[in-house]
Amino acid sequence: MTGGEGAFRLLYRTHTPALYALALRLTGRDQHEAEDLVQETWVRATRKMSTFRGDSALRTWLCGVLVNVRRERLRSAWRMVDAPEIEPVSPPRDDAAFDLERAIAALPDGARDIFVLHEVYGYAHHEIAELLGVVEGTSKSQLSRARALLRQALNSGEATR
Amino acid sequence: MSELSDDIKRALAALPREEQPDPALEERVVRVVIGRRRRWVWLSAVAAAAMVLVLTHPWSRAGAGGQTYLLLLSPGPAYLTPPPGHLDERRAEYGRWADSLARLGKLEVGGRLEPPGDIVDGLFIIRAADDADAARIAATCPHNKYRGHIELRRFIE
Repeated sequence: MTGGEGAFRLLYRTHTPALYALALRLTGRDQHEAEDLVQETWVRATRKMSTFRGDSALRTWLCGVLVNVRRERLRSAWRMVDAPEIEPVSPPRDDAAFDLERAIAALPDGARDIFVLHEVYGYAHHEIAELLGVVEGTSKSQLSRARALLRQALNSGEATR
Repeated sequence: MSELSDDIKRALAALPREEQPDPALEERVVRVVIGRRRRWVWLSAVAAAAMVLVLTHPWSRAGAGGQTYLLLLSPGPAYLTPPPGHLDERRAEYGRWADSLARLGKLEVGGRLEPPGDIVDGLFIIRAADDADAARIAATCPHNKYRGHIELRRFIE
């Protein structure tokens, strides 16, 4: 193993669990797509490392790279054609967490991205707007929509138990 | 803006922020990231060799008319990889483009680089009247259509 490879593996092991968790939530818990996103994020990040200005934590920067990779993929017709049918897989064992993860996974793509970034990862609307290339108003309205859908999904889940 | 209940907020806060992917992913990522770097080191060596070839070739002498340019094709961040089973078709398209340049007497050296991969990487040395002409030629490359990255460099003659 070269010194560069060893250093990269250390970086990978430090940050990949967080990237993978984010990727799973953004993709509705599609493991295959999430792994693909993480891989492309590392490829992109190592190319763009010189643009990392250090004014945010490296993990935050990497998460931003991942969100951008996903955004580009959603825009790519080929990627959409190749995308497998998504079924929620490997949910957390805890029932409440499972319901919540399932409800998040069932949100529409755009609303889910904004909900996950805001409610789970604490991004502000202006940061989401910059990451996703939308205006802040869109981030706010999509978040409101996502919250309503999530509440509805969780309530109907409780009603059917 | 509608708010979430405290129960949901608590549940969201309790969600794990880290999850372990399949251990095999690390090997795949390392192979791609480290392999790609090695490939670029190799590509740089090829470019350097091409430069020697160009500078020692008779048509590189001053006054031969036009200028010599190097086109380096790399995937770039937005490159659209061919769908499964269409790689040969993609390569053939690049080949037809190179052939058309050769017929016009504008291509000196060009081709795909080894080792082969899923992404077309290529190096072309062309003759053009000036920078603008070279840019026009580069713009006709199918690599643009697939959002690849083309680096255009003029040789000092």
